[in-house]
Amino acid sequence: MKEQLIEKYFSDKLNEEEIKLFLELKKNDSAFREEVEFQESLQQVCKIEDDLKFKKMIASFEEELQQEKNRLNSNRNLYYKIAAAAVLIISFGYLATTVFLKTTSNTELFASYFEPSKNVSYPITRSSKEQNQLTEAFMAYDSKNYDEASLLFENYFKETKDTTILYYKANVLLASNKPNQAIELFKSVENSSSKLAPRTHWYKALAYLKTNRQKEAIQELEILIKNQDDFKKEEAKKLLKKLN
Amino acid sequence: MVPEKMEKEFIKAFQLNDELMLKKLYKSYKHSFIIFARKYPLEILDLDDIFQESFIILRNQALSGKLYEVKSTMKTYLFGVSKNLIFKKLKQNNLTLNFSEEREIQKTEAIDLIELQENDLTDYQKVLRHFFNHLGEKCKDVLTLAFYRGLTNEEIAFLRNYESEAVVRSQKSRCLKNLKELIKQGNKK
Repeated sequence: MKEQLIEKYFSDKLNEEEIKLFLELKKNDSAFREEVEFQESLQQVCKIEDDLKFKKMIASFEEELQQEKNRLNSNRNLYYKIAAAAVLIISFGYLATTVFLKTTSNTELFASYFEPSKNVSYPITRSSKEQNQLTEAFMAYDSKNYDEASLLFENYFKETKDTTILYYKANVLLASNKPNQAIELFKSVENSSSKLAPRTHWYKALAYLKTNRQKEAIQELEILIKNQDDFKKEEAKKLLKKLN
Repeated sequence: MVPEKMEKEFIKAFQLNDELMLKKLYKSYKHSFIIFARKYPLEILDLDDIFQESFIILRNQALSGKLYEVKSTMKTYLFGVSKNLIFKKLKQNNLTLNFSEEREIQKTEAIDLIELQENDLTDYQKVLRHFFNHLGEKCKDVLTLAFYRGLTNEEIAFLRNYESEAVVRSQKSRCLKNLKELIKQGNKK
């Protein structure tokens, strides 16, 4: 009976009558009072011990949250890294393909349009020493023996200072895959009094194409089209269309 | 507006120490708390401490049965407690509160923030604690459930698979007897 009363007291389930009884017993029954006080103390002890366990439990929740956060951050970092790598690969791929495609197409255009100039300047006869030298040079030139032709043109130029011969030497350079040297030489011809000076724009355009300098190539073609000379005008127009 | 209502099943989770449910509650409340508390000029470590302390207070209120009388949801109540702790911390840091913050403190139900500390135990209780820890795990468990978590014998029987509430009652009184016996022997030595 007393035991149940104490039990009800701790679970807060005493009714009014029971409260009266409880208080009376606590006042007058020392054994009852002792028991209640003992259990009240026990309650405090239980609380301290249980709170400690609970704190450990929420510390483990905190730890879990921290781990989740770290995992999220490292995943996020990983995503960023993957994304950055993907952007790099894609842009590099794009750059490589466009540059590569452009280069290929410019090289192809050069190949399909370039043909070393025909000898339109020097009639081939064997009459003088100079003439013989020229004949040999153009024979080497026509048979695509460019190294020899280059040497012979150079010698002829040194002797005669005839800039027109440099026009052919520049053609040799362009045919021998030396477009930059060819451009320099064509420029000298262009600035000379040679009759072929207006034609240099066509070859310069092709040389620029070969070195992938499309802008300059277009400029040269535009100059060529404005020339009075009809030389390569139709080809220049076609090529310009393709480049634009 | 639908009036807020305290979730009784959450209070029960504290009484039963339902770890899964409590973990879920803790994580979801913590998430909202950090969003809500970010606006205050406090370190994140301080906010972590404040949240943990609030959650412990919440549990104490749940176990003492006081939460059953609260009209708001558990989350609102918890945030009320944590807001008080935040303001307390701000004052400690010599930061003055603005008028509306001051009023908010006054408005919040006077929540008893005093937590029982270890050194609040009387000498007798310290001795009792010592011997309590000499009891078997089963005894410590059943006494804790009954005296602190406020579970009835029936609930304990259900939770711990005892045959009946009568078995729980006799287990409890046996444990109490054991504890008294331990104290008596300890005093003799």
